[in-house]
Amino acid sequence: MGHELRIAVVCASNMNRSMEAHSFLSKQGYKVKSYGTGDKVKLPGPSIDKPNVYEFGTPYDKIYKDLKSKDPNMYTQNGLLNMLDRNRRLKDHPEKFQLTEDEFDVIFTVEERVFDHVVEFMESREKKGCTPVHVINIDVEDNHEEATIGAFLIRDLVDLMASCDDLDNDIDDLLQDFESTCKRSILHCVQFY
Amino acid sequence: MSDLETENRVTELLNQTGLVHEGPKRIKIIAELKELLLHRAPDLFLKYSEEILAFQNDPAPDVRKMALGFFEEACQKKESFLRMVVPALQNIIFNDENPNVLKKAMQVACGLFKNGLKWVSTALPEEMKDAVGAWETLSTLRDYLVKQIDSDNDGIRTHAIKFMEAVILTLTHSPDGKAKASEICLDIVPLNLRAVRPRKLEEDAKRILESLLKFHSSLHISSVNLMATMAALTNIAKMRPVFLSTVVLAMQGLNSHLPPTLGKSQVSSVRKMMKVHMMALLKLPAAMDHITAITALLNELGATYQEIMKNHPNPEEIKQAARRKK
Repeated sequence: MGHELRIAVVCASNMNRSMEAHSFLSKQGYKVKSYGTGDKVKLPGPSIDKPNVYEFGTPYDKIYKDLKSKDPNMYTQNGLLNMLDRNRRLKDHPEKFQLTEDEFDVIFTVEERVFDHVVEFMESREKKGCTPVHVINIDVEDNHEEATIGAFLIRDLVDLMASCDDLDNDIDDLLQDFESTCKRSILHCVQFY
Repeated sequence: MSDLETENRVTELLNQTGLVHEGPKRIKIIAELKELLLHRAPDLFLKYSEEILAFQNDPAPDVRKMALGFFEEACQKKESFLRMVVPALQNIIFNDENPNVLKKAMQVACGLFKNGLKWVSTALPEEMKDAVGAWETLSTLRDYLVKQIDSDNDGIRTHAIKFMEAVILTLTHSPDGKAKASEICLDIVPLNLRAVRPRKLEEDAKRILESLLKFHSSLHISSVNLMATMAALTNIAKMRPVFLSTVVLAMQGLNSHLPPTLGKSQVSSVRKMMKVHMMALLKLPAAMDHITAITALLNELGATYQEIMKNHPNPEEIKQAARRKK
């Protein structure tokens, strides 16, 4: 299947972890889209109880300008402006997974709660046919360093999947082997469109 | 684009397929042919069907997969196209050695099997012979595809599970005979139709369900197929509550004897998905009769009291629904 794999990477806000992996995979030439499953897009604010909250669909550029106008020093130092700058060069705005009608071969999630949201949505959605999609969770903490490590792991796994001639036949063994190499537990299920 | 211009473009594209040999370019051409022959000028499909059906023997597997999607969509537009498409599907299922093409054929077979039942149930007298022929071939294919549950290829087994689910739902009646307008199942078969014997088909569906349950409880089932089977059984119980008790029993059995071949995280995934499916079953009005078994299983799977109560069917609403039915 190779580079024809249709991949989705999903985190909570479609800002850090999913966008880091989106960036890595698109540079490798994969067909990748990214999403968030939360109610709103949430970014750290001046204190833990004052996050910056936006609607999905708000352009990254608008969020970038908003944060820059609020406190350019703080948001430069904590890396948010850099992250938003990267994001706005990849796509226009954060997208909510539960609103997409696109179909994928593999959906990656980066925490169990997001995996649950994806499964819940896939179960509730009206089934059109019998096309399978593999949903795979690898836990990645929501910070810049972990997002980079997570993106490497996802890219390595996608490389292995892309080299399979028959992914559906090989997926169980492939994930078991990968899990023992990367030493992170993996959740996996198959859903159908 | 006028009809004449469309036809000229179709012939131009068909000529190009003889000259262009790269798979991706041929796929692009077929995509345009599909758009023209199914959406712009559907009356032309019959005229060019021979050329389109010839793609079933294309050397590129991706082109054969694309062609299968084309055939499926054509039959969704007009059931009588099954007359031409079913032999092509049969050829691919029996002769194609590429597992990815075979899996696509199995997906397409799910839809065509339903189209076949609809056609044979509603065909005009002059079409009946063709409709019965297509239905008989589809029934032969059905038996062959159900046996693929024993294939050596794990992915083909996954597709066989999904195919069996589709067949079971098609060959049974909806609860109270109130299927959705879009649902194709035994409800649509006229009682006086000689070509289809609903009672025998229902027996076939039960036999296929038994095979699925046997596979579900087998010791060496892979993690991915176990989860596909759980999903299929849950869907069957949701759509056909008459099978709910059988499915709950199967889930209880599985929870007590998980396959020993599963790794630690595969066990976590299986238990997580079992919890998701049992929560879905708990919401059903028919779950009232099995509430103790379902909640006990959910407790064993780590569901909290709050989670169970959130999905618990409301007894008052169920009583009201029962009264409305009377």
